[in-house]
Amino acid sequence: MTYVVTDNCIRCRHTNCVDICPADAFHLGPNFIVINPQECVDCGLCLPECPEAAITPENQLDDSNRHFLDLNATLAEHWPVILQRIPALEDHPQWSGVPNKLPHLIHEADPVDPVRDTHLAHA
Amino acid sequence: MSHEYDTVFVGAGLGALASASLMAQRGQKVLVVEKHNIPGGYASNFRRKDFTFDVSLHSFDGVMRGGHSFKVIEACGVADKVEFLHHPTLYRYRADDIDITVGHRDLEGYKNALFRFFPEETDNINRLFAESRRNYQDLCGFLYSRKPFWMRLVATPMVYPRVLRYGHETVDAYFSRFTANERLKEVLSAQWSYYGLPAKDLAFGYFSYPFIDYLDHGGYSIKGGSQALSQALVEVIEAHGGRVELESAVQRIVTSRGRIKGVVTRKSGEVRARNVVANISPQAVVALTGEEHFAPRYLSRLREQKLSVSGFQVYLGLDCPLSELGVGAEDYIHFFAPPKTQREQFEHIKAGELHPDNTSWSINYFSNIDPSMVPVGKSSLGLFTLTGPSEWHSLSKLEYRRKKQALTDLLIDNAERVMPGLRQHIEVCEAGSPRTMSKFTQNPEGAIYGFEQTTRQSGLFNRFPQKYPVKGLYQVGAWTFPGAGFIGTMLSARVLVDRYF
Ligand SMILES: Cc1cc2nc3c(=O)[nH]c(=O)nc-3n(C[C@H](O)[C@H](O)[C@H](O)COP(=O)(O)OP(=O)(O)OC[C@H]3O[C@@H](n4cnc5c(N)ncnc54)[C@H](O)[C@@H]3O)c2cc1C
Ligand code: SF4
Ligand code: SF4
Repeated sequence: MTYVVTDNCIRCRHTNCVDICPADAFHLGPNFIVINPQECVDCGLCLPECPEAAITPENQLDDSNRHFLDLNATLAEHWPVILQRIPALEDHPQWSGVPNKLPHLIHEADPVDPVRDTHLAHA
Repeated sequence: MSHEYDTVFVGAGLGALASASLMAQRGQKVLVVEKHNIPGGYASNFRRKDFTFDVSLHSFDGVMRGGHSFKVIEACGVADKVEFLHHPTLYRYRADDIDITVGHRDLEGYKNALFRFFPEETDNINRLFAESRRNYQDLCGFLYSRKPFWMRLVATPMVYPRVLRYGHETVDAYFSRFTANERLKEVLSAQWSYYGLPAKDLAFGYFSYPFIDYLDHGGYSIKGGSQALSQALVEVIEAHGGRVELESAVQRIVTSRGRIKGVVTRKSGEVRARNVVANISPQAVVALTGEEHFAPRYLSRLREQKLSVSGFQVYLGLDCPLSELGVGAEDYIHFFAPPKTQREQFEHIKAGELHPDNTSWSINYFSNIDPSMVPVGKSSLGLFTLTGPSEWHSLSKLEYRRKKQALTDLLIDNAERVMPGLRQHIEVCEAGSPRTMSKFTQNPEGAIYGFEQTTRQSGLFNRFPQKYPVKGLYQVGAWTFPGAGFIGTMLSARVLVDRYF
């Protein structure tokens, strides 16, 4: 089992979910966040934190969003671990609740600056 | 959607689950709202790899069939749904000068061991235990009487005189009625970490019930972990028409003209109810209700209440049986006491300075009691120490990680000294810090025992009251009377229901 971040998060990315995670399982992308299934311990704490209701336990995914499971796993391999909450994306109110935002997802991670990006873990 | 309930519970800790089961069985319509995805609060389990760990339970006092504490289990309807496993030994106390093992339900054996170390105190020890047992009987008479609550209150001075006589003194002051030996008094309160205060500051009224209950009726674990108890209570609630709503925090407690109207929950929105029983911290209750609904004097009294200490526990899953590391099958809890007084240790604890020679710590050999929670041929144990909230909550996540790792290493080093080779066998290692406790229960500063059990904050008249100045709003669980602990919170449920429902 793992918890999975789904469509609602895209272009909102509040990062409210990050601080509570006891396993440091969240990885940050430019306009989305994912949970690393290798790290997630299924505690469920992040779920109620998300204002977009984007987080779902794996066993409650359905056919419409099951593909997010693999997407979380793959992106977690490329994106840095985020340890501390940062501000939401500026235009998030515009995108809140908009369905099917997957085409807007940016896969390429922003480059990490070890001095500026203190919210990220550096390998 | 709008519902009608007699009573809505905020949080699904043991206090709420126990009271909801009592009320549902009496035909009330109840709803329990829990933020987390599992019920139980501290009384729950978690899994790492193939190992299941009980979040909190070290020892549940007195739950043997026929015993007083078991009455609460029966009343809640779970007596045949959960199995209690007795601990072959209650605990072993290990210090440089004294090493005592307390057997299961063996007060005589314990007294004999004390006589060996304190030969000149024989009479005093006998008198102390005789009176402590009488006091326990008085307490039980009061708590388990079938008479209406007000009648019991009125009768207390006559029928249960000791409840009042000793209720407002410290454990140390009570022991001092029988002995002047400082060392003996510390040894008698070997379990002080369960109550979160040194004997010199701890209220005897709170300590006195489990003190005798452990010795006379034993210490227990729950088969399958405390999640099994929480789950069983949920079943009783649901079987009697109640509902438990998980993953759904209470966002607001709604009042109208000074009385409860209902709550707003994440999943159901506004829910109407006649009563709301809070199982969360009173500070959070005030915040959810709105400070403007409470008198300034009430708020300032609440702010003056001192929080209990927090704790740090390391959960270890080992790739070998405990016997391979020299642990006997009879071993369960070992308390390690450094050559410092409890008060000196507590100063270090509060400041967050943990040091093998300054602060006491304990080992729980979990899988010796319930091997079904670990894979065949493997084992589990816990290392525990009290710790003050100090800076746990203000650290950045990276500093926090470092501090957590340092304390984990310190406890494992301690344990390695009594179990050489331990480190090579660790397959799973998880640590729970004050910050973790807060995350999982929202309890402020990671307090594990509600408000501190000083004489000023303990007992029927001094403990934070079960009834709020808002009509229909009540408190249950560790924060109120009698206080924290598995039996403590279940008793608080019983007292609440007997008294107000
Ligand atoms: C490490 C540790 C070891 C312990 N060992 C022992 C022992 O050996 N023996 C013993 O008897 N006792 C022990 N205790 C004490 C015992 O576990 C607790 O006193 C008891 O479980 C507390 O129960 P409670 O009813 O007060 O609720 P809690 O367990 O505090 O539960 C409160 C619940 O409310 C929920 N909640 C909070 N805010 C909201 C909200 N807004 N909406 C909905 N839900 C909310 C939380 O998620 C939580 O589930 C230990 C405690 C700890 C932490
Ligand atoms: S809180 Fe929700 S929307 Fe925000 S980053 Fe986390 S998953 Fe995405
Ligand atoms: S379920 Fe728990 S461990 Fe998994 S991502 Fe959410 S907070 Fe982290």
